[in-house]
Amino acid sequence: MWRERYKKTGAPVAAGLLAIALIAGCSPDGPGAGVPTHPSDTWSVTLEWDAPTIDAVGRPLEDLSGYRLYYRETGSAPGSEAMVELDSGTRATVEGLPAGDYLFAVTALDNLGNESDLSNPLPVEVGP
Amino acid sequence: MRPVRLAILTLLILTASTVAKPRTAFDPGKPKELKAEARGPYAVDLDWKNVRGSEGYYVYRDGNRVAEANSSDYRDEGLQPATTYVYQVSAFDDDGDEGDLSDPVQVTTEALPAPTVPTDLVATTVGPYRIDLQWSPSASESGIAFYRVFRDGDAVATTGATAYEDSNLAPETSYEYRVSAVDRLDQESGLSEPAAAVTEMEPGPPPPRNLAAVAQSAIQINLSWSPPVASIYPVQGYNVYRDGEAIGFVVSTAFADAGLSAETTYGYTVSSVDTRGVEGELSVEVAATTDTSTDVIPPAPPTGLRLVGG
Repeated sequence: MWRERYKKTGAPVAAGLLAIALIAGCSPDGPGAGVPTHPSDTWSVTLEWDAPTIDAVGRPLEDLSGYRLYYRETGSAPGSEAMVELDSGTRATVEGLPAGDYLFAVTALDNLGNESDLSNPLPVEVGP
Repeated sequence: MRPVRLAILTLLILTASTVAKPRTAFDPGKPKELKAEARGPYAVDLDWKNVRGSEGYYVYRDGNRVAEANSSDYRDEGLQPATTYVYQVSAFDDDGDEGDLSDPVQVTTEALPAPTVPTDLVATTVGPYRIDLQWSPSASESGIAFYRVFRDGDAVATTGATAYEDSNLAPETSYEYRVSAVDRLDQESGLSEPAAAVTEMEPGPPPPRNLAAVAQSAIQINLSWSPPVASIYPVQGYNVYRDGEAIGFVVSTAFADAGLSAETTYGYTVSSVDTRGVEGELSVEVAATTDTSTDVIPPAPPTGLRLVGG
């Protein structure tokens, strides 16, 4: 549902996302995810994903050109999500995040600019 | 008186008979032991036994009186080399009375040396059907009448020059030549050293004309062309090249190149192939660019989005 709306509008993340319970970061020795940056009031988050090998109708994908990473703070208004253009690497770091609860998702792009649906949403608790 | 008159009559008769029959008056017999010997190519030396009482001799060659000799020998000059002559001689006295002809003798003048063998024979290929020959002239005392050209052992031509153009040959064929010289006396030299040459391959067919390349879609370019104007052998088909690499052979004058990438420029050339299977030169290259892709299917979404580290 969220993914469909997201793709259609190309803008705000559905309100339904707000209901998703954010899980605390996976850092084993800290209460929250992320790495403190400058000096301790913002954080960075590194994400990884698996590249698609087929297109939306199942044919071999030969012209993957890059990704877009979307994220917003949980509870923020629709249309408030940030977007980062990425090359074809499957790992990215977002820096300068204030502490808070976030939702992340990625899409894949081909050479002709066709954009895939959103990946699985990833909730992340950023902060100390 | 009577005996006197008889004597006078007798004298008159004797005198008259002498005047009326001069040959019987000079009868030395025919000259004997006539010998004839060739002295080189142009002269014959004659020699015979002296005839007593003769004033001189007549020399006959082939039945014609050709000379007068004071002694019993004679050199006949100005003859032709390697020619047989028949000689006779006769004696005559101081009255000019001629005796009988000798027995005939036959003699042959010496031959001139044959021409030297032609040297420096060179055979040069001139296209698929012709080989040109040239050589150095032969030496000859009597003069060269012509040269004889041998191709693979057979006499094929004569020429007064020291060169020859042998045409109407078969393509891609090796030929061996020799040359001999023939002089004006019809004497022929030995054969020269051989010279060989191979005719060239017949040219392939000309390239097609009016090659055109038109993008049909994002993945296909269509080619079309016209057959060449003229070809020695009929054209049986065409080889198609994309960016220098052969991509197909077709009998028709069109080709559809599919499976291409969108918005990409490709260069094409086409060559003709004749019924011998010989390929001619490539046509001028033409280029075309595939259309923009109409593919609107996006990739599948990435999966397994996860947090790294902490």
